[in-house]
Amino acid sequence: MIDTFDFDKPLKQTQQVAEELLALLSNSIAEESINSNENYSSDHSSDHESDGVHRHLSHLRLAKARRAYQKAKHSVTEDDYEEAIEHCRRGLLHVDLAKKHFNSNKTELSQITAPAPQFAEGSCEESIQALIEAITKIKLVVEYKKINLNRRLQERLLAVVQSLQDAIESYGQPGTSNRKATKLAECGQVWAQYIYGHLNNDELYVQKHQNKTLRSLSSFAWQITTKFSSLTTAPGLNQINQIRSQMHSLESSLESALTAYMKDNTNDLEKFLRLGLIESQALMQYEVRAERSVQVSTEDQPPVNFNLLANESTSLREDLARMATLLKKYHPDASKAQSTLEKLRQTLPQMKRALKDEEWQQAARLLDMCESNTALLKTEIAKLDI
Amino acid sequence: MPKPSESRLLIERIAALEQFVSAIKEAQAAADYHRSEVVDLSIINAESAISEAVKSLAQYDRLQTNKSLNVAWFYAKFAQDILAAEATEHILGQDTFLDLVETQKHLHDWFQHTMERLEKRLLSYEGELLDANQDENRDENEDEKEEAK
Repeated sequence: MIDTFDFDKPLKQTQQVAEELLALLSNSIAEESINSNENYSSDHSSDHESDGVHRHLSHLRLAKARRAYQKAKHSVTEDDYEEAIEHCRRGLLHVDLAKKHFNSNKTELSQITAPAPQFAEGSCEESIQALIEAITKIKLVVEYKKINLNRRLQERLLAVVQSLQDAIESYGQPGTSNRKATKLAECGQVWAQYIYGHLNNDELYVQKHQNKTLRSLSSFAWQITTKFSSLTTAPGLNQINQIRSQMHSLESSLESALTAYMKDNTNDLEKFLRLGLIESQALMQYEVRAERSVQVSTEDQPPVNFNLLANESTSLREDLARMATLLKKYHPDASKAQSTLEKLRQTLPQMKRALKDEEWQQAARLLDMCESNTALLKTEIAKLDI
Repeated sequence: MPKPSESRLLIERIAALEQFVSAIKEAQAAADYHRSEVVDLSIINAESAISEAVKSLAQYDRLQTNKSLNVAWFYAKFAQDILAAEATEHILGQDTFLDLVETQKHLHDWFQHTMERLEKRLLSYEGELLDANQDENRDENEDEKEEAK
């Protein structure tokens, strides 16, 4: 019955059509219920597991078909034939799917050839797929090499996963172009390269499909991670803090370049890439020096650890800034917690200054304030929805 | 044999994807060594995209149906890849898994760690103040002794 229904054929929105479809839906549900022996599974759960077909999915679809039928019937009683027809079509689709599931053999995930669609080269879909592969590759490397990601890289990775989520959501929005989704996926790819470079000293992508701008962004992300991350561990270099701050500045240039890329601002994009290039040239000076010192000292020094930057931790100031964001996100009534944290963030540096200037009374007063705000903050953190 | 209509092809794809997601769900339930939140979320999102696909098809919107099915595919593929990576780690590694979303445990530990760090920092400042206080008292005592002399 359902096999012959033409879902492509446009239907007139009339009472007669609505009632005919309602009858077809009702009969199809009954027919499929009998075919699939619907009530059997609830009484014979172990048999249902071993019958080798997607009985469970089939019955879920039949339940949905019944709900669609009820809605369609209600719409007919309300003389809303357009809506009734839509519900009937939906119900018929559910029945069709129920039938397909009941007639399909179950297969284990490892045996399934995933129903992979073919995406066009350079398409949005291909970009999203590439980002999925990049994230999985990072996960494999981290787990295989037992790398403990620091907060900075962990946050970057979470942001990459979020950009995948955003890209897919944007892609799925009805009536929108794929432009935003493509850019989100591409920016995610560049950050994935940045993370991967830290961990594996390697390029993540086969470059053939990427557009020219994206290629230069990825290559910049790769350069600043693989080329310079070893610097922070090079023996004989005393300017570690300067190098780190310059590398963070390079990271900011990449961030700004990507923001410009998202906004199609070519001028800014090129400007930030140029700035990044200037900074990376300064870092080259350190690199040349580091190479020399490595050559001199290879015999008595351990091998250069390319991952040291990955172990660099965040400052308390950065952590308190992050805490403000998290409180806003997870606190059921964030205002009190946020104002307490804000006071703490203001008072802490003031107190440090007072200690440095040997203004002991002022420092003691500020310390009291910090301690009471910390106690208050602890109480507020206990109320978080986590 | 006549060529199946466009809608029929889409129905086939919906069924195949739904079975794929169902197999992922079963594999996730069987992976008792680690419960990945990102896989859970991806399964939910894939199922919701499949529902959207059915709705669009009922409204003759085959373009949107196709898009929703691609969305479902992305989520399902991501979940499958993560599950496969974790199975590899379980078999060949030491069950050290990298979570790709901020889990509640991560957040809880992070808040605890940051508050401990803050309290330690305050204690060290308190120590500095105490030292300064003691130095001041010592200076005062010495002054008094000198005056007494």
